[in-house]
Amino acid sequence: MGRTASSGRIAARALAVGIFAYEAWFFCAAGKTGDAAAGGTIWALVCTALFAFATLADRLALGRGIFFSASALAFIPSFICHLLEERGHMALTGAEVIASQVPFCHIAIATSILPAALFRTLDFPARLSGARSAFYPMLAYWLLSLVTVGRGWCSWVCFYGGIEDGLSSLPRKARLELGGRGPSLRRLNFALLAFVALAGLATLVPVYCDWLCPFKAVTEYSEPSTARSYVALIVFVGLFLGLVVALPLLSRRRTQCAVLCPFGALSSLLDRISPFRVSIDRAACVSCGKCDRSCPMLALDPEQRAEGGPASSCVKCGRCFEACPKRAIGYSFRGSSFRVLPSGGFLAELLSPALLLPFTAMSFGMIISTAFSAETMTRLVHLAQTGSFLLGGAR
Amino acid sequence: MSARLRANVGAALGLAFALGAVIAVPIVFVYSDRLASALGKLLRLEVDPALQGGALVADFADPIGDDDGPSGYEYPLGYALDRGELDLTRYVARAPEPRAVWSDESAFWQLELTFAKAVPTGLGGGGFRGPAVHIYIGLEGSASGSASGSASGSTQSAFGEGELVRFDPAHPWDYVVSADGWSPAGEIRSADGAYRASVETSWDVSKRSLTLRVGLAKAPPLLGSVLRGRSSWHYVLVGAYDPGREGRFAAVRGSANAHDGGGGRDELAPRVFDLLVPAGSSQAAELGSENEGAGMPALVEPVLVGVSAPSMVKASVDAREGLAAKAEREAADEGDARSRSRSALAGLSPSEDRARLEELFSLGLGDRACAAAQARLEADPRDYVALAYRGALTAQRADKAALVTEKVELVGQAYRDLDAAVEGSVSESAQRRVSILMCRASVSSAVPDEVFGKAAQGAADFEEAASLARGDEALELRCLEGAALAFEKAGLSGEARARWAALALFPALPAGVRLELLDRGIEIQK
Amino acid sequence: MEGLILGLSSGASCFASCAPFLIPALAVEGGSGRLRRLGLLGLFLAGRFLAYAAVGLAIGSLGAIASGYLAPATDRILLRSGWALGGFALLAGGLSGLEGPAICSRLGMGRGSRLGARLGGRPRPGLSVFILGLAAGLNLCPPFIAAAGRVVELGPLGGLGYFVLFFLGTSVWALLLGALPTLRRRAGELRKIARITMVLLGSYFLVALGVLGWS
Repeated sequence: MGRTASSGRIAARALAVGIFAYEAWFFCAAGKTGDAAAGGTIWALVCTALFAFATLADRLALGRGIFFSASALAFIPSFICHLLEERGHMALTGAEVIASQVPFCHIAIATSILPAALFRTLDFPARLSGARSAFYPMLAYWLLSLVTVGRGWCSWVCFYGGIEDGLSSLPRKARLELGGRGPSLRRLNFALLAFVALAGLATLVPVYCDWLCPFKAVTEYSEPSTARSYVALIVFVGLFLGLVVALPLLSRRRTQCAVLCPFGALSSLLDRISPFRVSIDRAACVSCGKCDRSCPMLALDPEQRAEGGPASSCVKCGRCFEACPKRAIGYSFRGSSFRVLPSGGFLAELLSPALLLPFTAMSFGMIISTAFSAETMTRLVHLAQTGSFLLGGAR
Repeated sequence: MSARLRANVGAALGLAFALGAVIAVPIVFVYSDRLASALGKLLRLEVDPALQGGALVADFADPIGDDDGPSGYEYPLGYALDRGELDLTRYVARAPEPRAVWSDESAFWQLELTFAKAVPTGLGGGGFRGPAVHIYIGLEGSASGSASGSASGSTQSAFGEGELVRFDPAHPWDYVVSADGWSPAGEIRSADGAYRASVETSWDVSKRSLTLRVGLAKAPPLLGSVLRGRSSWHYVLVGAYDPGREGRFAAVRGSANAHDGGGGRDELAPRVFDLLVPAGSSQAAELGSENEGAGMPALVEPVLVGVSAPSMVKASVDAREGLAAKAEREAADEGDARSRSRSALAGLSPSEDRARLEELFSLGLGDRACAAAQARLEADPRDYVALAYRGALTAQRADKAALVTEKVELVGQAYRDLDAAVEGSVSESAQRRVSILMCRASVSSAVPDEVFGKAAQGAADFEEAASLARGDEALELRCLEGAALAFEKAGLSGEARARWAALALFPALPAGVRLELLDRGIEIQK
Repeated sequence: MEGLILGLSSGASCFASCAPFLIPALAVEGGSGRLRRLGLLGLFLAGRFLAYAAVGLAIGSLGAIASGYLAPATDRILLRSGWALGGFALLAGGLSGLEGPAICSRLGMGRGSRLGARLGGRPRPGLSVFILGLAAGLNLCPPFIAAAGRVVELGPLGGLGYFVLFFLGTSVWALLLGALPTLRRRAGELRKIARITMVLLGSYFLVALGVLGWS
């Protein structure tokens, strides 16, 4: 977009696309047969195409955005079908809780971490191992994300964030202006993390999951029977419609992720560990403020720009890159700053953060999504062939 | 250091770190199961007992196949029950839980029973059609501080004639919990008849278990005292469901008919098909102890559920070390025997190899076994045993492969053979079927569960093999052990525990198995 | 002696129950000097001490009658009262210091109002911390219940003594918290975050756990 790409750049990115394609094939389709192979191949092709679009065509934010939203959309049918296949019903009943068969969601790490550290007890009725949605694998993936993409999880991997990421990028103009509220919303986010962690510690109950998770509206829920469960249901649906659907559409910001998600706040705190960050070339910046308006997490404002980069709530989505008329903002390695450089040679482009972060982050997201998005493709293939969306028996 | 140098070093470090991240992502996912289990060993977390119904305090295994009362009982004919539906295999008592989570707002006490076979009634609620269960509970000591003031309980059945048993006068019962698969809920009542309440029942066909939740919030202080750490004595009786009788336990006559069981010795034959007995006693002895002449029904004894003292056996360090040393010696002996057998087979011709495929495989002579399997399959493409061995050998080659892609492909290939062998061998002889199942089960237990997700299937295969191997104790043992380990790998620790408990009932256990049981805190029956 | 050992061994559990009260309270006043913070910690512990001593005395006096009352139903009522009281203290402490929303002044809990001052607004943080300590002490954690069970037979003085030792044992970890350094750089931010956290925790404890009894 506006910059002539050198041949070195194109070659480096083409190589990256090639490696990514192989990786996608390996994780999505290798070793599978029949419908699963077809579905996996479709998803591998989709991911590779979007990665190529993001890097070769230099449309990072759009390529990532489409991948992210598609992945999240594909998660829901897969999850629901899994529940139907394994249990026969979507609702969570006491039987599953007692049997510790509830899938562990990464957001619950925020409530579980303190009791786990102090009491060696997991206050969530999930399997500890034996499946992708068990506790230890989820913990491993989170630790991995901390040392690789940091809070980039929230814009490349998280299968919940994609819904509002997509919705927040749909409108052309913001009807509701939330700019300038960044610091207070961040404070609220951290306060919510502290609340969820401390309340969870005191009561040994996953408070966030019990009361505040908007995604219960589209995944798993407890059958409402008492007044309490009806109130909870109203809260979930209300939060979903408000923070995940309505506000992003009105304000062009990711309100749920920026305000309510305790896992995001935790990742923000630990974002310093990741090797990548977003930073601003202060020499090239003209303080036009366009990046502030484009940031879905409200991580940019005049103070942050003066400091040389967005706040810790930055999710590395890349929307600000295209908004900046001087291209003065971009990915950089931790410990150094972003500089507007002319297109470099093959090696410089290959090892630049502008290529390495999207490669790492999208690989991560793609691999995680094989558990559900690739599976949704498989189900679609199955649907086309047999007319049924459900696969017989557990996978 | 000048600023420029610092900046360059910073950038270089950042680059190195970033490259590390790029490589780490796919690698972690490929080895995620190993990473997860390493995390597990490091952190050793447990799911909060309140979410599981309370901390486990007692876990009793009841022998499999003893659902014939004192001996020789036959099931009533009415429901066409399968053998095993009245066979209690496991009884778990949990510590009373003062904080109810995801349930009604009261403290509760959870008890769980597992059966050998479970067939639902088909009605809502998913209860099992066969069993009716009575759990008589006697609380330790006198009822100090209780509102009722009276001291002891009863030694008679709560249901008129009921089960035709007497209870040990040293441990009279204070409460009885009753449940069956046809009623929407169970019931608890006190010995003096003053207290009656319903008990929540939850039936799980896949686990073949019944979970009972006794609410303690509105219970009399005596029952609530189990929250304060009182031990209790439990009589667990399983009978055949008969709606026409008080207590729902079917009678047992000389011969079975639509409503009654058969095989009863006399008029006082106890109406109990399976009974949980304490260590040192036997079901046959207890249920056969009636004295018809004196009109005295059989006397049954309870098991102790100690809330304060954990029921797990904590052996001394010396004992464990002794067992470990013994296990090593046994393994060394086995190794010697194998190398001797290997040298004995050195001089065989390929056609003789074909006949000894299984032996070659078990001795680890992979190449020759491979050739033998191939030869067999060429001669008879429907030789499913050879097919299964070929699959297992392919999986072994996968283990040795260098590239991950190669591994994945070879495992996929192995399963094509193994699955075909298992599917095609349904009507084969038990011996051949056992070999085939064990091939697939061993592979399933060995491959990473995170990637292939086969551990649960492996456990099921081992189980089927164990049931087919019933005559051969050593083989049955190996299969049960395999099943237990596979369940653990699949994260189904409850199922694993039940298999370990079943292993504990075998008379002659090798030291290696005894060590595994000891490490898991499972008491070995003498 | 047993009380002391029980107290020492139940550190983690006690920390878990008291942390929601103590940590925000400390962070709110954080950045104001080591000595002042230790003083506030001391006030918190004093509140807890009073609560424990009272309970020990009460149960010891009631003796056997109390064991009859320590049924699950009364357990639950005591628990809920503990949550409600603690929630109210947290809520008052948090609201009385929040800058910005007009709610504070509307509720009469603004910085300058007498009600706010009474309940522990900025002029009197010590009182709010003391009440928080009291509430934390009344919070029934499992070791507390175990201690209560043991004290039944000890009589009033014995009960008092047992709980005092129990208190000493559990307070050891609290002193560790007091030794933590403050994050000078972000003190202002932390304070604001802590205030919001206190409001959230307070509302949850008071309304959901205390009044409505939804765990």
